[in-house]
Amino acid sequence: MPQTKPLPTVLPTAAIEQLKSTHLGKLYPRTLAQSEAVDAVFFDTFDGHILQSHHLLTWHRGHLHLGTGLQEMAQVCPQSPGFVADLPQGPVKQGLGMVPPLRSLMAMGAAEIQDLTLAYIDDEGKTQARLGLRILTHDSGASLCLAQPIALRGYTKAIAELRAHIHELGANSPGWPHLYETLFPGWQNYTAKPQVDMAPTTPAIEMVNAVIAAHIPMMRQNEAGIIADIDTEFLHDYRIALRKIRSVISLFSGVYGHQQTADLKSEFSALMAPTGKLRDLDVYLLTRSDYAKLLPPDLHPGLAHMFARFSEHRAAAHAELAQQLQSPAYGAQMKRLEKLFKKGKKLVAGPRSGAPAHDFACSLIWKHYRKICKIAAGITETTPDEQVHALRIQCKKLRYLMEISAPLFRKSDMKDVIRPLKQLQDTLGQFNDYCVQQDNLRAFLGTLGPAERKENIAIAQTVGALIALMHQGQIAQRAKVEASFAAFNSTKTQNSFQTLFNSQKEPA
Amino acid sequence: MKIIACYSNKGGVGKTATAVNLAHALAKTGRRTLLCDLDPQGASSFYFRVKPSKKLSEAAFFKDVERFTKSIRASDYEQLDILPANMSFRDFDIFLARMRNSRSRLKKALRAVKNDYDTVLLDCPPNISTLSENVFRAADGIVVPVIPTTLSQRTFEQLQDFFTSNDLQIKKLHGFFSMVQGVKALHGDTMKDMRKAYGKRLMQAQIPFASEIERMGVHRAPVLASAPKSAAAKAYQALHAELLDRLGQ
Repeated sequence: MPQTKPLPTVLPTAAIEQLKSTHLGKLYPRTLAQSEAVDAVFFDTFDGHILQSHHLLTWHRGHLHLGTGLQEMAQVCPQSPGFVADLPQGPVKQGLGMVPPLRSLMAMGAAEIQDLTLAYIDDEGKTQARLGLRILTHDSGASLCLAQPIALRGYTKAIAELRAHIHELGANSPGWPHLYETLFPGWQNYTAKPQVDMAPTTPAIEMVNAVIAAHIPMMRQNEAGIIADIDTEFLHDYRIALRKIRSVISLFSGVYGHQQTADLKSEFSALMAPTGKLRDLDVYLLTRSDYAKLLPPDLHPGLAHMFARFSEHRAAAHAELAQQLQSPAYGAQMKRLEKLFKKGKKLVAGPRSGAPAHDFACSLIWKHYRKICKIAAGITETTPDEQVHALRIQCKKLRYLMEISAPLFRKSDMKDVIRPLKQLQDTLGQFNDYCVQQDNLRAFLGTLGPAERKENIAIAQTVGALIALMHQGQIAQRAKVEASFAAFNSTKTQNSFQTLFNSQKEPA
Repeated sequence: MKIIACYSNKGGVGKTATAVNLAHALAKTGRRTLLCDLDPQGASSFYFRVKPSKKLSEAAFFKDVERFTKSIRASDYEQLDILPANMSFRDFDIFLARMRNSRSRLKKALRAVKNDYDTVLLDCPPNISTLSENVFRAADGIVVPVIPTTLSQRTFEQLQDFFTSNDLQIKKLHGFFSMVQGVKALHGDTMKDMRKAYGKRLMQAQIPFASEIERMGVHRAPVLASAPKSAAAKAYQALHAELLDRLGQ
């Protein structure tokens, strides 16, 4: 039986002629099969989940094909694919588990696909190994080839030689992660976690500049997706980038001059402000089915009316934000900010601008960690909710601090302290969600309009029930806070924080 | 896993051609098939261009299960592997015993390499005759090519007698007429007599005497691959279909 290697090697197409003419020891190559060329559109999520999981998704002739390159599954798909949940049932839909449900599929580019199979034959005329080749060619002439050696049982030497040959040919090729870049001219790689280069001794101002300079392009890359309303993750990522920028400015205080810090804070805060409403409505609409599960069927009509209103509000909020993102003023502002942080020369330095990044980060992390411990120590079952909110905010700050400064520390060390913090944040986050939702629902009640309208009464009943449920949820989460903090504050975590952030030693 | 033996106690009856084409047909219908070339004279491996393994002639071979699995070679056809072997009768007996014993290391090894087969086809040596009860006990079905001549009729009768006297399941025997020449009156008469005498032990499908089968040695490929539209290929297809039907597949 043929045994295939799962991931093909990316080769330059120039290698094909070489493969067709070069003997492999005593074996000679022969073309076994050649398919006709087809035009296909390559689909992936904006952040490339499919390529990252070493798969390619193509759509041609009303069919979707998914595979690691040469071996693939196929299913009927008459329409250009969007969300995986909306695809017709079939093996490709099942195989797309790597795509997050909130992410829509998008066309990455189009290319011509042609398959070629070579057989490596011995002096008896027996095939000892096969080579599957898939040639991808873009209109611009950009091309690449996926090569997958196919082992035949019992011919271990032949397959080893073929694999070595392929490896040699592909040694200088950009490889699988850069497949879209190689094939589609102008294609831009997107990551929600941009890499920021920093060293322990980097002056703090340079580190902060670098963090902001890396996140402004991330905001910009998401703009088109927000405007086109492809999926809700574009706005989510846009806001994450903005939040990181705002956090690094406020947390590393003293890096910029006092006025400069205040100006930057207010400028980025103003950029965040118009996104909040749309994001809140996105979250409501995404969790629609959860609400339905919470309520008895007789309250469902009210829920439907409520979500119809939310949809209307969302459409308006989206139109407003899209308009802003497309305005010349916004464009000019972003260009100015990009330039400002790329060069950094026009930024006014503050008293702590020259502090070494590592030491500065350590002192801040330690300070916030101590603050968390202090607040948490005072929390009992009867402490007012304000204290819990204060704890949540401090945890959030600590998390941002650690994430921003992560490149200054060993990955595994950081992981060890972030993990327990994340668990504590889950409890606090859920507690906060219940509180915020009650506030939002109350505010929504205020916008309902005349009570004599039947629809409004139905909505009010539903909202009332939901507020009651949210309140129950809040109480349940509140009860977990003490235990969650105790779990976070283990001796191990205490020691880790102490060793990592409160010793004068240089990092490992 | 089904074990099918291709056996004849008389040489030159088209046994190897049958094994080669049956193996091809089985694989073509999606069954993972292993053809074991156990007949030093049959050379089914030759037809598949697989070089015989030197290791397999060594006496210690079957003591080492790994060496068995390592000797298996993929053919040029999907789902069809070959065990090229030149083994003695004694080795063959042990081979069968291990194939059947679920606790045997051989079977474990087959499972371990994840290439468990749906069908194992044995191209048996012709000289095992009455001595190897093991073959008949191990196999789910024994395919027996019979040239419709008086001599072949006698050997088939001997085989059937052997089954009866040794308390073997006679229904495992699936005879069929091989190298049939329609122009020969003797062939026609013998077939008529034998069908009357052996009834269900003979399959309806029959393989003609055909130049395509003779040329298998030149093409070094099954007739089903080299001349798929020929009468001989169609006859092998019919034989394959009827055999699967009889084996309840």
